[in-house]
Amino acid sequence: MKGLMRYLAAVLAVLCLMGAAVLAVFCCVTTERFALEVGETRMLRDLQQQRIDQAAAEMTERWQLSPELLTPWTQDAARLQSLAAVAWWGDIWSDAEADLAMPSWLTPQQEAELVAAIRADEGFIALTQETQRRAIARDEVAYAIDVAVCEAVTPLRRSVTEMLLTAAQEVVPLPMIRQAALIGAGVLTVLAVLLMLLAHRAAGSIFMAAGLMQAALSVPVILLDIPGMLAQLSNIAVLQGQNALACLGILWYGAAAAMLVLGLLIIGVKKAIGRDEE
Amino acid sequence: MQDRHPLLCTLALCAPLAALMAAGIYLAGPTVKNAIFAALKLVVIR
Repeated sequence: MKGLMRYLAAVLAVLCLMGAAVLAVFCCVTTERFALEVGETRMLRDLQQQRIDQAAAEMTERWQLSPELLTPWTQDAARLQSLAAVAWWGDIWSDAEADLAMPSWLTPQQEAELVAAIRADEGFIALTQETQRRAIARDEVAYAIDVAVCEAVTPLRRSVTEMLLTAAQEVVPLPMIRQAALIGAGVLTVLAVLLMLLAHRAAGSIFMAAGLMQAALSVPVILLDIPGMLAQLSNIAVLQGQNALACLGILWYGAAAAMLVLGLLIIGVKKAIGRDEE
Repeated sequence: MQDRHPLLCTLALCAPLAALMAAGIYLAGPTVKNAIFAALKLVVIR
């Protein structure tokens, strides 16, 4: 009976360590640094800028705009908007008052300037009627450029993302969720240590089992094939998904390896001490 | 037990969790996969 209790305490300790690791990874995901890792690769940036340039070229052709008219508003847009998105992600998880709406590319003033520039363009004037120009310049070009840049950088439906974040914020403020996860990770670690004391002389095996099971937990995630799912939806999202998984993988397997090594060390040291005593 | 058979002890601790995980993948895997794909379709822009 005593043996069974010790065994159950050891299994619970392994579960606590794994739970702490999951919460710690969640805390890492909600940092600016993680968002930067997701959007950092050159290939992704080039693809995003290509998508933006393509949208601008289509608009230029459709509304007979001067070839270079939209360039100042789309040049380097992928990089700058990406930095804005990274800062936004960091803000919403650290400041309860932060704006949950994803950042837009053009400020109202920039949009007004762009509309004025389009309305003054000769090709545009020749193609459109006086009464329609303002509406077309604003809705079909300036707004469309804003949407194209935002969707190229963060290929997420903005309305749904905002709705989900607002719903979560109404229940518990996002920064508080992050803090709760951090505190939860600490509490679970302490609990695991207490359970290890109950499990009596099995700390090494508990750490090793936690490391092994943590590595094994990546199997269901690999089987889910999230990049494969994303590939059916968006080629920008699939690159971002791969970056995110690579970043999480380093953290996850790093922590698993650390626990394995710690377990081996504990067992090794105990054996060495045992031999000395003999 | 750990002092004599550390590997056996580790495997004994992993066994129930691994069995639970395998059962989870077998029973709930396809449902979870479909649910995640449906959620992605809702959020990610094609």
